[in-house]
Amino acid sequence: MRIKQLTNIKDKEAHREIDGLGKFGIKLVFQSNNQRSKKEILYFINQLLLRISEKCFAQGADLIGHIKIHLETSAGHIGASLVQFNEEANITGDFDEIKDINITKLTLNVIVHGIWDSAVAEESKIAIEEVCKETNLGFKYEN
Amino acid sequence: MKIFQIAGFLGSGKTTALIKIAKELTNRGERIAIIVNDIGEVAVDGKIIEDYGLDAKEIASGCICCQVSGSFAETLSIIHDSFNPDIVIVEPTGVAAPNIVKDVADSIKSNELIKVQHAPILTIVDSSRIELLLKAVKRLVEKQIKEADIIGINKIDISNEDLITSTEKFVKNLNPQSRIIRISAKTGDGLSEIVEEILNGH
Repeated sequence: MRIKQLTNIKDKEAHREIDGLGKFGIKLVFQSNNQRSKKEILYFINQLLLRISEKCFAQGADLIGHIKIHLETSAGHIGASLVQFNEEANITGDFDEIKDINITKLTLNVIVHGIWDSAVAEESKIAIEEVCKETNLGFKYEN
Repeated sequence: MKIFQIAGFLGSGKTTALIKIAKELTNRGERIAIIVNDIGEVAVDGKIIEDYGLDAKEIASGCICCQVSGSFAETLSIIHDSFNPDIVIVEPTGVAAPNIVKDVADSIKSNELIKVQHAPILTIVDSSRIELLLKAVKRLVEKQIKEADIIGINKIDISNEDLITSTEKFVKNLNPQSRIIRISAKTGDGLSEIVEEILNGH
């Protein structure tokens, strides 16, 4: 099978804009006693997206590609994304209002324009640790 | 096997549109397969798509139009051999060049048993933040618009009429041959027209 490569100068030029994007992705596993209400979970998601964007912009990011979260809980899954600084996140998926929902796993993918991958990783981790501490959620990073 | 590509910059609404389009195609009796490509090391889109009861093959850690093009061609071949769907919906990364993705898909034609057709290429443009995008990633956004057959002017539910109109003018100027459709991937507005194009377009 012969695969086409980027040989055209214009293709290469346009694609070079990827270089301006800083990327980071990570998975978190939460401790088994992290039970929260639906309202508390939505607050946590919104705070995390907001905090990551604020920290990246403070370091020089000028555009959000996307900041996406997939959260697994005992009551179902939630997807959330933020694409505009200082605006509300788009949240998809839903689960019933149950008092004690156990948060189990979170997958995060951050792409912003204007700062390096290492800066996105550092700022995202600081944001995760801050927001989890503020909301009393125990977690560890999954390899 | 027809390949339908949903292109567009990061955050334009590709995944949300894909979920609704895939459901409508399935409801119309089409056998579909989905390939999603994430530029990051950790993929999220496939998980979100699967939450809606759809099965997606994920290709992570690079762009299918350049860095992991071999994985894309191989995935297409496997899907063809194992499932042979009517339509494969491909969501490349938000930084992919649509024509190169198309060329990579064509490369599996070297196996004469596989007949690949292309549905019109859809590029989704976020009308609510077009100005920001043109400041930061102008060449890439322009390229994605120029290489589209259909352009979905998205987020009409949250954008304002002035921005929508100016986005339409900008797009038309760059790609006069394209069909422009106003859509909201979130509410589903305009997506039925796109489904018609997938089924009946060239």
